[in-house]
Formats: sequence, structure tokens, C-alpha cells
Amino acid sequence: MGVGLAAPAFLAEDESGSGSSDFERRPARRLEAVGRPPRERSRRRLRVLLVEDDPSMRLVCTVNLEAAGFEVIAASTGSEGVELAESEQPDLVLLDVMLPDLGGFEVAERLPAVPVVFLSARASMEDLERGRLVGAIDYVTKPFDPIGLPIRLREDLELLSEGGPGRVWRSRFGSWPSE
Amino acid sequence: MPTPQDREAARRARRPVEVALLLLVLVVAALVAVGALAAWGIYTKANQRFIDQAGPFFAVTEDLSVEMLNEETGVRGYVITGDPGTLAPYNQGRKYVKLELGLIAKDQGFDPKIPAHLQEMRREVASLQSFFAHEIALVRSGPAGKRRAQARVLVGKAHFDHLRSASGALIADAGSVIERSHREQRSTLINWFVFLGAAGLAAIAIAVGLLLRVPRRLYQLFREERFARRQAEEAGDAARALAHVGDAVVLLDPHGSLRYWNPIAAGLFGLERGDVRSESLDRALEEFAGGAAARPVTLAGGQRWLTCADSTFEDGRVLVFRDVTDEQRLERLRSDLVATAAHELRTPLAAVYGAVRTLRHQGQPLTPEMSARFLEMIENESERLRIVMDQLLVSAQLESSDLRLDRQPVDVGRLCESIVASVNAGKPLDVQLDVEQPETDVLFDADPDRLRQVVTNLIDNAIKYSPGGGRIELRIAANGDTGTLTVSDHGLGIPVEEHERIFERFYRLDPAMTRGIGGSGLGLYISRQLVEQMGGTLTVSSQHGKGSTFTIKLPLTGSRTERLSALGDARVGRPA
Repeated sequence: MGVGLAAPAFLAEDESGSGSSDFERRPARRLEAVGRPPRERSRRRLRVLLVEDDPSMRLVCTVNLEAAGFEVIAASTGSEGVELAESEQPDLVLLDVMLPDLGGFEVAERLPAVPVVFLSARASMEDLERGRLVGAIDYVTKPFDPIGLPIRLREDLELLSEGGPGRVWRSRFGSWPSE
Repeated sequence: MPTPQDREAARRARRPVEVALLLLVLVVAALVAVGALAAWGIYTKANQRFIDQAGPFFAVTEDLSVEMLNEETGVRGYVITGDPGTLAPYNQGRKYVKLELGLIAKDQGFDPKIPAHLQEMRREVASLQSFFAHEIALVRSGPAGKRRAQARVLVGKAHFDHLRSASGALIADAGSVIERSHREQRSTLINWFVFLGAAGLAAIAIAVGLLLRVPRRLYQLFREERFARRQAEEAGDAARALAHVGDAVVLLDPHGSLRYWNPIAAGLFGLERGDVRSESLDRALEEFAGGAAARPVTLAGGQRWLTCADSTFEDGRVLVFRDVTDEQRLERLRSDLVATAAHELRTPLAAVYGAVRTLRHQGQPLTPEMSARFLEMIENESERLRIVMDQLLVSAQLESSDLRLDRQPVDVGRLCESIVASVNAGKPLDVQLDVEQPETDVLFDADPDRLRQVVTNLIDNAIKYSPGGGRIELRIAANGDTGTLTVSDHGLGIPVEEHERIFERFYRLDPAMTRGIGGSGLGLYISRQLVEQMGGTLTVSSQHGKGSTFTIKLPLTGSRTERLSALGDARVGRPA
């Protein structure tokens, strides 16, 4: 059943993940809406909404994403992120989980149709599963290489346009226990 | 196997019975002896009575013959001499004979033969006396009569022989009476003795039998009773142990019906006297069908984490449930700590790593200002890492209670100003820190480093939970022996029900952390522990949505040092 892609060791070890079958069902709304292939818009710079309360992390991400040609809009709270996602129509939301007001998972549920990639120091199996359930296409755990971040986001968007959110997830984490 | 104590106890129990039985034997023996003595007494008395009665009879009968002989002697003398004076014995004998015959007649009931023999005796006496009378008449009649009388002497002798024989018969009667009475009394006595002896022997035999059997039986009964009591005690001990054991114990019969449960089990599964089945128990057993590992079970009182030890034996099944809800909660707290600690370490580490990677590998060179910002970031985040590590360490030290405090006078005003200065360097711009203190210095008796740690933590919290910025006020006051330092913010506040819980270890306002603001869940726990170990208190008052005020109360140095120095003065006898 393994797709053969390298899965993080902690995923390979733990096979007791709680079962859930609504992975495909729940994000479907977002998937259809997101269906607009980002390629159509690739002529212009990809716009990323960064929702991150930690100023250091915000700076690191912004500098590196901008250097890689992304347009970065930054928000430091969840509610600000939701507002900006509606007004700025980003191509992707990079979302922290631990936010001072709304939690990242809650923010993801309130966002309009837009691909979400979590960016968090919380790296347990449960956190990843929750992220997947609220419709994220990818989950980046801190600490991560900021130089590689723009590359990873581009890949995510390409995989998304090829095979939908499940495709991105599988390519990142291999076979997912609850799928 | 009976123990020496058992034997000793049995011996003690047996002794009174043995003594009682021995006494019984002695009493029986004494009774037999008394009976024998009494019988002997009766015998000798009866014998004497007969002898007393038969003796005179015998003597009188003998006497009768003698008196008759006296008569004969008198008559013979008269016949020979013709002197009437010689008739004196005759006359006297005649008087006595009459008397003695009367006496014999009175006692003729002694023996059935006596009346006949007495009759014969009377006849012979009468015949002899008439012979004597005839002789006397002959002598009186003259010399011829005298010669005729003398010639009839032999006739008188024949008469006398007859009398003797009759008297002998009477004497023999008396002898036989005595003999018979002797014989009868003796046989009665022997019968008595035989009876008493047999009864005594039987009584002694019974007593001895009892003496031999009863103590043994008693010992047996004693052992049985003791065994039963010990079993009952053991059952009682087992029941007591089960009643007080911390686990729920349930005994099922081979058909799965409830046989026994202890109070914990009754509480856990809501069992009541007479219950044969229990839904909640069945549910628990279903849950544990796959194994004994701890798992949540929904019971009447809500969900509890249980473990189950299941022992099946031929007469049924013993189930031991342990409520591990608290352990589970602690375990979750621990794993939360690990996750939280990991998260708290990951966040600054991510910034440091990100900054270094950006500085070294960024395609386009960074502006000098930007480079400086990244270097500063590395510095700050490293500091943050240090703080988190420190908190984890202090927490571990508090846990193992080997934290050392260096208490000394601390000028709280200066300490607060110094903290505020360092916080001001990195705080958000919309937060303003104010220190309010009395004109005179307030000296807390505290460990300055630890107090700084506590106040810094409280200010950090105030900033963290004031997302909209605002004023944060530090107020210092002294009241009697106690100094007070409050840290107030106008931020999110804390719901009343959380006021005590925030001081719990690993507790965070939102345990799921999704809404939380970074923190190890240790800050307030450590702060309160530290303040308490310095002899003070740390409390909170807060209204949800309107900010919080944390109050540190610590002893003032003055009070202590003055007291101590006064004590020192008194000791060395210095003049006041």
C-alpha cells in the first residue's frame, strides 16, 4: 500500500492513527473551488498569505519567499489572516497553528477557498492529522530550511493542480494510516 | 499440624474437665465406702439385737433345766431324809420354773418350732412336777410311803431325761435362731457389699472411661472449633482486605453471574445487593475482551480509565479493575509536557536555524540592516531557548526538591526597574510598563535571582495575554512584616474557574494549545513554587476580558534581620 515515497520516520513507526474517511469529502468544497489551476495565474507573482505570530519566523519566511519571487502578505493573528485571505485573494496560505486569538486549525476552516499549508512547531501525528482534516495540502514542521520553503510551496501547488490535495499529502507523507 | 501453642491451649482447656472427672471418681468411691460402712453398721447392730434377744431365751431355757434339777434335788433329799426342810430348793425351783416358762412363752415367736417344743416342755415339766408331788405325798404318808418313794427314784430319772430332751430341743431352737439370723445377716451384708462394689466399680469405670475419652473429645472439639474460627478469621481478613483494597474486585461464577464484589467495585459499576448482572460491568468486559491494557470505559459516573486483570479458575472468574484515570491524566500531562517542551524548543530553534540558513545561503545578498536584524534574532531566540531550558530544569529541580535558595535582602524597586529595562528592549511597542513604588526602599527577604525569574515570568505573561497592547503596572507596597508586589495587565484575563488551575504544572489556559500563546505550561507553576519556597504566596485576581492582577506576598527583610540582630545583641550582651 505504500506509495514508495519517503515518509518521515515517525509516520512509518506509528500505525495506530485514528480512522477517518472524510478526507476526500470534507475538503471537496475547497478542492473544486481551488480547482482554478494556479498555472493560469503563473504569469504574475504567486501571492502567499503568511499567518504567523512569531516576528522572527515571520521575517525569515518573508525574506526567503520574497527572494524566491513570491509576493508575501503577513498577518500576526488568526482573525487578521482570515480578513486578509478574503480581501487579498492569495494563491496560498502559510498558516501557523499556535496563534494568540484563533487557532490555526480554526482559521483554516474559516478561510475562503484557498490551498493551505501549515507551518508549525507542533509535529505530532495528531496535529498532522488535524491539519489534513481541515483541508491542508501540506504540513511543514519547524524547524525547517527557509531556503527550501519556496521550492516546496511551488511543488505543492503543482501537485495540487495535477492530482488534488490527496496527491500532495501522499507525496509528502507516503501512505497515510487513516486513508 | 497442631502448633505448640495449640497443644498448650488444648491442655489448658482439658485440665478442668480432668479435675472434675477425678473428683467425680473420688466422690463415687467415697459414697461406696460410706455405703459399705453403713451396711456393716447395720449388720453388726442387727446381729447384736438378735444376740441380745436370743441370748436370754437361751439362758432362760438352760436355767429352766437347772431349776428343774433343783426341784429334783429337793425332792430327792426329802425322800431320803424325810425332813421337810430339804424341800426348800424344790419350792424355790418350782417358783422359778413357772416364771421362766412365762418368759419363754413370751419369746416363742422366734422360731416356728418353739411353740411345739414349749408345749412339750410344759407337758414334761407338768409330768415331772406331778411325779415330784406324788413322791412328796408318799413320804408324808409314812415310812411305807417313804420306802415306796425311794424305790421310784429311777422312775424320776426317766421323767427327768424326758425333760432334758425337751429342754435340749428348745435350746437347739434358740441356737438355730441365732445361727439363722447370723446367716441371713451375713448374706444381706454380702449382697450389700456386692451391690455397692458393683455400683462403685461401674461408676468408677464410667468415670475412668469419661476421663479417658472426654478430654480427647474435648481436644478434638477444641481443634475443630479453632480450625473453624481460624477459617472464619481468614475469610473475615480476606473480606476486610478486599473491602479496603484500592481496586475493584468482582467474582463471577462459571455462568458469568455476579457472586461477590467489593465496595470499590460497587461504586465503580453501581452494583447493588442482589444484583446478578450489571450492564456497565458487561460493557467494561467487552472493552477488555482484547486485552488488559488501560482503556477508557463509560460508566454510570462518566468515563474512567481502567485496567483489568482477569483470572479464570474452575469455579469462576475474578476480575480486578484498577481506576487509572488519575495516572492517565498525569501521563497525558507528561506527554503534553514533552510535546510542549518540544514545541517550545522547536520554535526558537526554527528561528535560529532559519536565520542562519538565510544569512549563509540566501541567493541575493542581504542588506547590512537585514543582516543585523537576523543576527539580533539569533541572539534573542538563543536567549529564549535558554529560558525554556531553564524552566524545564527548575521544574525538574522543584520536582526532586533539590532547589537551593539564597535568601537575602532584595530591593524590589530596583529589581523591578532593572527587569522593566531589559523587557522594554524586546517588548512590543504597544505595551507600556510602569513601576509604582513607595519613597522608602522595600526590602524583600528573597532569592534575588529567583524573584527576578518570577517577576519576569509574570511580565512575560502579561505581555503575552495582552494581544492588543496596553499598560502593564508593577506596584510595590509594604504592610507590617509583609511586602507586596503586584503585576497587573489589561489583557484577556482569566475565567474564574481557571484561577487556581493556572498554577498547576503543565496547565495552560487552552490545553489543546491551538489558541494558546507559546509557553511551556510551567511558568506559573514554577513561579508559585518559588515564591512559596521563599515563604510567600502568589495569587491571582482576574476578570475574563478585563485583565489580570498577580500578587506576590513575601516577608520583608527588616522584620527578620532586626529580630535576628536584636537576638544577637541580647546574646553577646551588648548595651542597647
